[in-house]
Amino acid sequence: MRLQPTLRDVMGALAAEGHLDRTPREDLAPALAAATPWYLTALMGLGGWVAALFLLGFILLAVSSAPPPFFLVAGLFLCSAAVGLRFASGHPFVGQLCLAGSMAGAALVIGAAGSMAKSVAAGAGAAIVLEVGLVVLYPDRFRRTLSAAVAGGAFAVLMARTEQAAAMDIGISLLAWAAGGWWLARSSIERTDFHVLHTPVGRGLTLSTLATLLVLLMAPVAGLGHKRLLPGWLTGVGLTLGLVALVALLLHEQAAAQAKRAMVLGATLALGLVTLQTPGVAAAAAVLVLALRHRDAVLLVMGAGFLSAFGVAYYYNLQVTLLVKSAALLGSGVLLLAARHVLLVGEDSP
Amino acid sequence: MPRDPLDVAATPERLRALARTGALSPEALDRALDIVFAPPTAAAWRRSLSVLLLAVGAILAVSGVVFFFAYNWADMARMAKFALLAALIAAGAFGAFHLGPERFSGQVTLTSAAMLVGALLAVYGQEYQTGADAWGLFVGWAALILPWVLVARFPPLWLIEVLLLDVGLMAFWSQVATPGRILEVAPLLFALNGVAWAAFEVLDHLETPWLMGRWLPRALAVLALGSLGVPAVATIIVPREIGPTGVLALLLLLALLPAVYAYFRLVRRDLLMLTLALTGAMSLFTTFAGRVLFSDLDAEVFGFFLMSLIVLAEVGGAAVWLMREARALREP
Repeated sequence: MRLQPTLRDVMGALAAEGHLDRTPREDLAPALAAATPWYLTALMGLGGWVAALFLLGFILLAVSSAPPPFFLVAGLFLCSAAVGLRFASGHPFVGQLCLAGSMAGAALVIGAAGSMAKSVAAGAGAAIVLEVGLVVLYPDRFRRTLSAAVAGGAFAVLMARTEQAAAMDIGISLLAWAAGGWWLARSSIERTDFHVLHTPVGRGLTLSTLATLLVLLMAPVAGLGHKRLLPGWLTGVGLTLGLVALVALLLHEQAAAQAKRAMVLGATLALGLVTLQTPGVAAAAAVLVLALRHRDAVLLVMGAGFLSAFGVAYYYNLQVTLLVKSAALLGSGVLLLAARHVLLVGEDSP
Repeated sequence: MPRDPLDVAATPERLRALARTGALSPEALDRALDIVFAPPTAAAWRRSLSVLLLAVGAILAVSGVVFFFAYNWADMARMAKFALLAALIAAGAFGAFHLGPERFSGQVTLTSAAMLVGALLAVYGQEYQTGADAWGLFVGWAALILPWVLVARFPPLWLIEVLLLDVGLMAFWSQVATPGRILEVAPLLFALNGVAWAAFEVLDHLETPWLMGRWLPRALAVLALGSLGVPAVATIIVPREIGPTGVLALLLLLALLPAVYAYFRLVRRDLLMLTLALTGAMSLFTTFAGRVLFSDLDAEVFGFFLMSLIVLAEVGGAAVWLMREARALREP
């Protein structure tokens, strides 16, 4: 299943429409260098994490008796220096140094803010402000993705601190809608001066939504967090509404016939109802549909990976019995297989 | 990495880079972005949705069945459980052959049936409390589904087969052969994964059509190198506690990593494998540096600072090196 069109496809279409005299084969080097392969990004990101942890360990041990404001100033200095240096040079060595510096700096700022106010919520608030700033200012796709994910996660922490199940449910739904809305606005955002923000912010918000769901499910099993914050039916309703709205917009985009719209929306709603107590299914379905719409392989991997991790977390979730879980999973699975059957009626399936 | 540069994905970044060089006019860039952002056609949606619905639907349905039997419903008779599972497996197998094991739908159906074989063995152990070790379940499961794996020619099912054998081997080693000394299984685990890796590299070299790209040989390479990596790293940190198996794993890895790099640089041209080999080498070196600084020199605070510099230098150097290699690999 090939997701994105290739340069050959696009160049061919441009040539056919008279926008291009020839395929610029000799000018392809900059285009190829413009995108770093995912595994290189992963290696550099992982290296940045490890270096940041050592740097953080060094700072905390070297000046362990310093008051929290010192760490706040040191963290802000590290973040500012990292942003300035990264703008000045794109060399991979400098990039790694800045990445590690900005990560260690952000951890210092968040920890110091929480410590000074003696409040986790203050730390989460500082994380949102700082990471939103880094999303805009730090010129690196990986760091922007991470910043968006941390900001989304900090928002979830703020909701969790209310210790109200409804606030948590609404918080997850808001995160999911923000991620979905951001992806749907791709065509508009990519044509503005902020185009570099679109993909990293979209992936970061998606990651924070899925990670929040997983953490909430697993936390009580690991003896952390409160059972009352477990994603409940209200999360299911929020995510189902998001999924139905997403599917409705995509059907509108395809100018689908009324009968087809009603059938697809009905099936989507049925999926949401069957899995109200299993909100991971609707979340994964939305991410996978968005991945296909935007031909984004990273989103596809994120959705598939989340579905697997969710299955494991859901198995250990003590809120409902295995029999109820079994019915929800079996029901949603059969529904999707039936939907495929309807989709392919009269067609040759792959 | 595609062999022809024109076969890479047309991302907005790449198109903008082309426009910056003047290869695309502003109008052409605008039109190119239109093409890239355009929604998939109805036919493309149908194609991708049919794959997605089948894969996710099968995963959810099989999970539902597994959860059902894990519930261990006391009111359900023993034979009813076996009969239900056996009927589902038989239906899966017949369905797969009806659909055609060479088609995606048949392959997914056969994979679902293969997963249910594991559930059947688990229910057998649950019902009869045989007291058998877990390794028997995994090895038996792998053996029972092997004919389907051979027939389906479906890379995910091959990966499941190898993983079952891996888990079975590890369980045998930790429960029967040398209880409590799991790391000693590393050379055998490497041999198992290494043979599978080599076999799929050969199939890839022969351009076997059902391989679906290079993801399976790469995943098997991670398993093979990883099975040596864990004891090798442990040997660097606590050599006396691991014993000769760890030293063997370390020596094997030290010999293998340059060979892997040379092969995928000079013969097969695969940047991901070069990255993997370099990551393995960096992991060993970082562990060694950490041991010298924190254990041998007792560097403590300054050790943390030096470690951060070492990691930055390693990864920065690797990034520069690999980007240069990427350019070299694109040369005809």
